[in-house]
Amino acid sequence: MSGPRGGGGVWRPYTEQLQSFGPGTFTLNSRHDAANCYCGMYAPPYANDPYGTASSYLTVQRPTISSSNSPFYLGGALDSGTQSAQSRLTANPNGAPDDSTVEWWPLAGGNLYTLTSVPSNPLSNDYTAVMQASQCGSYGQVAVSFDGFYSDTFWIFNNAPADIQQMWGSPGDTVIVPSPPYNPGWQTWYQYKVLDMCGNPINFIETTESLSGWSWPNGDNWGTFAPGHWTQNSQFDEWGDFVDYLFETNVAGTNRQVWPGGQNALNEDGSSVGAALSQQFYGGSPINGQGLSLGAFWSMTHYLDHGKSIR
Amino acid sequence: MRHLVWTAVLTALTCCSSYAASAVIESIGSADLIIIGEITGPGTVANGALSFSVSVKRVLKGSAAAPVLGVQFVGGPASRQTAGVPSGVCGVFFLRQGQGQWLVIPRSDPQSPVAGLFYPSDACEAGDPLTGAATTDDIVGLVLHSLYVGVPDDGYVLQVFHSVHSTDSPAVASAAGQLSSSARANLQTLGLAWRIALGDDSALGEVPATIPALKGGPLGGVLVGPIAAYAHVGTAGVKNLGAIATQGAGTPFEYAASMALRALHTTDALPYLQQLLDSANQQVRLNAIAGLSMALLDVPPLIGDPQGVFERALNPAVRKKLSEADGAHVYFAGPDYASREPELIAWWKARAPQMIAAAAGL
Repeated sequence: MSGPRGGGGVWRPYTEQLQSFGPGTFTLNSRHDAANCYCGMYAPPYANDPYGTASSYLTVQRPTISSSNSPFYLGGALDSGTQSAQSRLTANPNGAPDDSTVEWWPLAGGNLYTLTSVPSNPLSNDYTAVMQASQCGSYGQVAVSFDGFYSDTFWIFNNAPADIQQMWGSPGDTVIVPSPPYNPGWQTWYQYKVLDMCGNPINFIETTESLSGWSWPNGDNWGTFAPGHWTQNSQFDEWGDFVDYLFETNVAGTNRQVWPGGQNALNEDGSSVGAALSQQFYGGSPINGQGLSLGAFWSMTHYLDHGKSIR
Repeated sequence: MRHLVWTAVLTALTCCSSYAASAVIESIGSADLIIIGEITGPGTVANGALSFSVSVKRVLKGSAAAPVLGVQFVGGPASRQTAGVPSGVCGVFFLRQGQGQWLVIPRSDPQSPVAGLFYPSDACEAGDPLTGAATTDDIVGLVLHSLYVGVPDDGYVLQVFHSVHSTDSPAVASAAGQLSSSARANLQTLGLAWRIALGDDSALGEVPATIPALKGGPLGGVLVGPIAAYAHVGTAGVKNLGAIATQGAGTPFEYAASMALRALHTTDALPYLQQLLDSANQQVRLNAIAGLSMALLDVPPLIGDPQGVFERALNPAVRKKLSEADGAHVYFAGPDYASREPELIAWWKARAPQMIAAAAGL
């Protein structure tokens, strides 16, 4: 006991751990009395308010965590389109003192992500998805503590580009729907949408394709073709498009050759098969073949009307 | 001998590319000079570049130092470069400075053998009232107006569609109605697509009548994107989506409508999602199951931030608690779908009528 002389006082420090009690409404109750043995006087027992002998009430909530965005695992890249493998987690101390010791805790699915401190803000950590979740609805868990008092568990889902759907023409169709040839050229035009692990469309993600297994059912009189691929970023803000072309690189002063079996017209009905090949898509990277396979191995057929030379 | 020469020197190429959906806006931003001009002369090809002259009729952005500019198109396949340019044709040109030249920013992927170098225009005649710098909306308007210059084929309609589709320019909105009343079928389709993209539920109602004509052709692809992305929860729009799904069975229209119904999964959508459980298309059936699953979980319509809306609703911290049977049949996507589908379809066919009745207060 300590306190001012001539009266009475109590100074009683408490070091209880909030974590052991959990959130709730707290107050400090005390009861004391005193006696003056010389005068035979007794102070009445004092208890809580209204006599100022108890602390006020304090409601303690658990800290919480919020995230800046839903992270996407992108196969290694940190960003693709408007999707990001990173998300900034920010803790709300909900009343914890500013000088609390703040610690971040990976509670579950620790192999799914890394947490990196943000030097400028101890209340934040950067979450980076390093692996996609096992399935739609499988969440990792993170918590933050203030002097050992843990936050609510924060659940976070490592989504990923997982599928691609073709909107116009159907994969595996023996007859696909080519768009009309531009003048000149032979193209096949498709609309695609990249879907996430839950089958929902993703906006703005880079997608590439690779082409392999070429065959030329009607022969090839256009010289040395270059089986391979060429890719470009695609912004799937609504429904993305890939436009495939087959064409002959012409030489100045010469005329374009007619493709074998061609009808020499701009009518697709009169076209013949130019090339058959396999097509595979990747999402999450602008670099062909990198990112995540979208699981589509489709057969593709290019039709040629090969009639109208550009010369 | 000729064939041998071809074999030796030709390198035919297949390439795959994509259009950025807002190509016009990107071009406006990256161009140092945008003009309406008339091509003078056939052009020449040298050192991998196509060079030609353009007589400047109006400057829309930047500053032209001379009344006739020498411009180049560099890059892309040689077939583009040898194509020449049509002398005397008027167009809107997007140019940037580089290598001491004015370089053409093509209206589509420069790797394409058919990359267009300009948007056709009819504003080159003497005395044209256009003067002064133009706003972004003015330029988008000129691109849209190019649809009425000459007789655009379906391919050009597609290019314009992709060039301006995702812009939020009011020029697109004002063009949509005008295109819809065009006498040309391809322009009508374009107008219909943009009206749908702008949320016009009555435009959705016009789609079923167009399906027979469009289902085998390329321009239907202009419509299916906006249908699939339709994100308005009004009863009329949802019912029109249901009609598209029903009357478009077996076509990409059915799939597109099923995507929208899945995302919205409102009370009005439930009967259509139930019907789509019987679709011949596996992806449509999956969309029906996923839409009914979201309705059961009280997931809000996936509008605005679909991923965020969905993930927040599915988050274990707040997810609605379902009965064991319901929880076991909530399904969205996964590699096991094919093996699980028969049981899932059978279960949801029994469950959906109960959901519909409950939603109706029966």
